[in-house]
Amino acid sequence: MKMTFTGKFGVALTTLGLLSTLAVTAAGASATLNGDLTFTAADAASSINPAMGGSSFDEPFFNQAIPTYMTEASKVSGSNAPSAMSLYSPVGSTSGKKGVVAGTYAVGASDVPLGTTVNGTSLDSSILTGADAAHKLGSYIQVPVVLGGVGLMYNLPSLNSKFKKYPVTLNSSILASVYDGKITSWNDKAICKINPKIVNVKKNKKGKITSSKCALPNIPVVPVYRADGSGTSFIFMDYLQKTQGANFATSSGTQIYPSTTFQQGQVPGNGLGAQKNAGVAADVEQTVGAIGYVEYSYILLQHTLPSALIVNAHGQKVALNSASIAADAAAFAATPPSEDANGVVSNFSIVNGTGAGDYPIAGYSWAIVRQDWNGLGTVGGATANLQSETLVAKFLDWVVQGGKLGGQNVAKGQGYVPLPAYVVTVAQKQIASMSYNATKLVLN
Amino acid sequence: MNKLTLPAKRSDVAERIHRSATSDRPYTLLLRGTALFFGAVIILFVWSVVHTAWPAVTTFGYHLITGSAWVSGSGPYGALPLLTDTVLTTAIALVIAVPVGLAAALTLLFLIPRRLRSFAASLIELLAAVPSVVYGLWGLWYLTPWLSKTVQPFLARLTGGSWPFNGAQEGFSVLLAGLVLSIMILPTIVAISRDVIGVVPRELIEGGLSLGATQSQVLLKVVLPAARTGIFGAIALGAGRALGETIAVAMVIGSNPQLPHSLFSTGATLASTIATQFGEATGTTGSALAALALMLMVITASVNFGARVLTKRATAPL
Repeated sequence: MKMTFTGKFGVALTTLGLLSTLAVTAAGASATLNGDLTFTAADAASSINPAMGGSSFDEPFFNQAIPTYMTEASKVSGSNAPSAMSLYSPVGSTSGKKGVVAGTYAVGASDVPLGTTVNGTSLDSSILTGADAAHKLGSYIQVPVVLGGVGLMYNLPSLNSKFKKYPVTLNSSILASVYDGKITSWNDKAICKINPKIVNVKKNKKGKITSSKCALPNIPVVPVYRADGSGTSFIFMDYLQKTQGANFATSSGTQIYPSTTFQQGQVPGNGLGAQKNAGVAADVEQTVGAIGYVEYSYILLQHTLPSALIVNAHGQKVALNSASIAADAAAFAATPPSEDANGVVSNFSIVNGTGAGDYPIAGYSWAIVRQDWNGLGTVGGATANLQSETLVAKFLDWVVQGGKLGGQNVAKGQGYVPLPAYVVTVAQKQIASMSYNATKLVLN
Repeated sequence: MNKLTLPAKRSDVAERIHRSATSDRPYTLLLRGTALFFGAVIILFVWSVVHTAWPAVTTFGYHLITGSAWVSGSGPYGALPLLTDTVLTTAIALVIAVPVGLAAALTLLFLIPRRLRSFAASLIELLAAVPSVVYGLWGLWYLTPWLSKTVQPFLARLTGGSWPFNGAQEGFSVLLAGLVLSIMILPTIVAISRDVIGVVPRELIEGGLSLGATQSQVLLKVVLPAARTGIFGAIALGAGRALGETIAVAMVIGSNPQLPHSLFSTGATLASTIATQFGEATGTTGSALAALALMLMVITASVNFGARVLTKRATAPL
């Protein structure tokens, strides 16, 4: 009796699985690859559980995507599906890159592609030091996995009730001055000027306006920044440099440490450093007058504070949301990110786009994986074999899929924006180039 | 064969130990091996820190200690602000914890009913069992707003906003870090000073009382002076813990490496800087952070060593 039930249920699940595979195929941009959720008994027998870690920008995504993938795979492959994939460790972008190079992570995630050069200096010169394959940029594939925006979260309780409808608007020059320590008070002229709605209006008896005064409080601006090296900082700094180049032209140093760029190491004296996206959000929440940059999902999912409208290249005041981030990514369709034969990724920056309704501070996060696992011993704690490499390829392939059952749908629920079709194509091309012992992986 | 030398005239017990020594050989070897192993671990450990720090030490030399700007990624790497903040937060913690801790120790020994003593003592010792990250969260969630809304405005009003209670009132500050540390080191100070005060000879106390001294006179002028060496040891052990505390400090100090201009200013200690930056550090930054670890190790090791010497002297039987 029980057996029959399981059997029928299994068939139903398999049918559902097939349908879902079809759905994914239909939604995917490329016909050569689509979400592969099939695992055989041989896969299940080889005990594969490769570890992943890196950018905290991606944490809400991966930690939802990994269990979802296992669930989806079990619908298709039953007990052969991976059931013990470990969760993602949000150790930071640089640690993600170090981890994948050292082989402690199978997937290292970073908001800045491995091997990126800023102002003539490679960010990863001290990671990619050796002459062996592990230290050669060309040994890795880099896959854009999520698209996210960086929000400017602020804590001004005095505006909460009366001006709830009018979030504070900021532009790049104000942001640069705030993080430079040149603007020190919230009712600074420059901030008041672009927030004409946030005013206390006095009217006479006839209803005529006699005075209107900036209602932004006269309290210090407390810039909160990332004290650790950070990909989120990179995106934010990239934006400030592209828009306020003259003020932010640094001759040396890396953009992952904001303090390097702010006044040659002198962050404002009242600035607060915090660890990871969650730390910045927590510091802003605890400090009246604070402003900090965090990934959209942290604003959306965990916190109740508003984020500022940002003036984009068209002069529009744009709120941070999925549509405005998507508009920004769409503006770069003509120059898709690409990885050359040496492994260098170009055109990955999508800050300050020129689209209409474009939220200008956004970026992709990248999954970095060894292209060929043959002879690697262990990768991310798992034995480096065809099964474990294929699992990672299948997982990433599912991650970049749109549609109802693809990984990008999970991303949507977590405050990210589904990858635009032109970027999915780039990602799939990368995944398709993975091989084991120089033989291309087979993904259904 | 056996190198165990014994006095010429052996007692029965010594004779028996000597005779059984041969059969106990594997056992003694195991014990010695274990001791040597951990000795070796410490040496290797110190060596690896020195080894990692060496490039930074040779490149920057004494500027590592005297430089007043710490900028990860590009340099300069000057630990002066970090050293200052480390010492300052520890000093604040001691200023608060030492009087409170001594008072608590005296209370536990002399001033509350005997049957309540062990219960009260275990409550204080429970503070030591709280993981430091919990102190950090508590500081972040509850003390930060309390400090910025209540304590800092109060102190500033009290002193007319003059030094050292001037500057931005953000909650996150060296003051808050010191406050959290003071609670964290309290159990150490209470437990050890209770032990050293406990061995103050009874005759001294009775002598004081029989000469007509009041209870407070005896406690302050007889007991505390008699136990002072040990109390210094307790303070030094507390300081050792405060100097090296990492995560709780990192969560409340504001992680802004700067020379403090007041008690309200944000800062970063040696330990908190290592904790916040090591994960993402590469190359020179990593090496400079190892140099910080080296400084911290030297400071805490010497403080702990001093404390050990003092407490040992104090609790040794007269």
